[in-house]
Amino acid sequence: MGLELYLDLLSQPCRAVYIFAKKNGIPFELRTVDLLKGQHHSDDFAQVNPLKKVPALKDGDFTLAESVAILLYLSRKYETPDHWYPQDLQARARVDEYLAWQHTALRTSCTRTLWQKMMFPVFLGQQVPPETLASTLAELDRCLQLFEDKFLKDQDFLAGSHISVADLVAITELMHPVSAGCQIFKSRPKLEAWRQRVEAAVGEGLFQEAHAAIMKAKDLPPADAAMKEKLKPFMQLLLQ
Amino acid sequence: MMFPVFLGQQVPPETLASTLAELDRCLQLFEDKFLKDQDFLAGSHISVADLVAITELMHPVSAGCQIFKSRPKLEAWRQRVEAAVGEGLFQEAHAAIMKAKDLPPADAAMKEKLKPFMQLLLQ
Repeated sequence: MGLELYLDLLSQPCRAVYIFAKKNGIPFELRTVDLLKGQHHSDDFAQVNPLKKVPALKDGDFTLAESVAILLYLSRKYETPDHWYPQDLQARARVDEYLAWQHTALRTSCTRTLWQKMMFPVFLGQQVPPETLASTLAELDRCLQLFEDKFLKDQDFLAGSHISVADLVAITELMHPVSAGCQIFKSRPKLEAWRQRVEAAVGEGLFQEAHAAIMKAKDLPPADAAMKEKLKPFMQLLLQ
Repeated sequence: MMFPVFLGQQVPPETLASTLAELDRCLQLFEDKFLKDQDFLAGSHISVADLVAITELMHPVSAGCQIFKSRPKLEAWRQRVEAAVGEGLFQEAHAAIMKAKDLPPADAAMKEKLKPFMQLLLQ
């Protein structure tokens, strides 16, 4: 059995791993883990990732969790072109810095935005208090400003002149609020220009393919009672 | 520790209980998924992962949580990490946090500055 990637493309980090693997022609078996059906809680999947999260990787007997670790493992094993994770000391440090920051910053506000703005009302049939959503959107805005001012600055990409794994992680993250109807690029020309560069570097076909599921999330049939029950603990976290 | 001692503000018992339960869950994952039966997180030798982990775990220890008492595997790992770092350096790095419980209470100006941060910490 070769490389297996356990993914649900509804998840931001899964999209980054998917795009990276496909763009670099890395051969893998796609193992879909349907998050909304709670498949990440199955005993079988726990054998692959006891943390019960996606993405997860299985390469022979070697299992690996955490999207950042997976992206870097793939870049090393398959010796992908240098720009993805540059050898240059400072360029690599910039990629590391972004990858470290995004987990507790942009990830949180993008996930909350998707769920509070769209998934709660549409999928779960539950309204979110307007002040909660307003607070989440304000935090998203603050993160986007930091992204532009501290990380992107006047560069073409996050680590300089070429696309890196940092840009993949960032763009897949930002598509989350976009899929919920937030026009985050409209008022931010610098961000929009970067987005176009990243899409062009990835290739429009692959980019659309990776984002097909999340862009259709608003058309998901409402969750049934069983799904709602499974999602309950997760829901509490998302409303804080 | 910091809310009651430094900020003079009680935290609802259910909030603290929920936080301690989550800490416990994370420690179990740490032992089962990451440390397993190894000497260190990446195998036989200390790595940056162990440094990041031990400095993290000293945080609840400084608040009086006896996280190592009921977890012999974790305790054994802690001893190996401290030995690898060297006791002198380890104590030096943790002197400030271990004395945090003796900090004089915050004045009004400090409390004002910490307000937004405080909200996040109570969720």
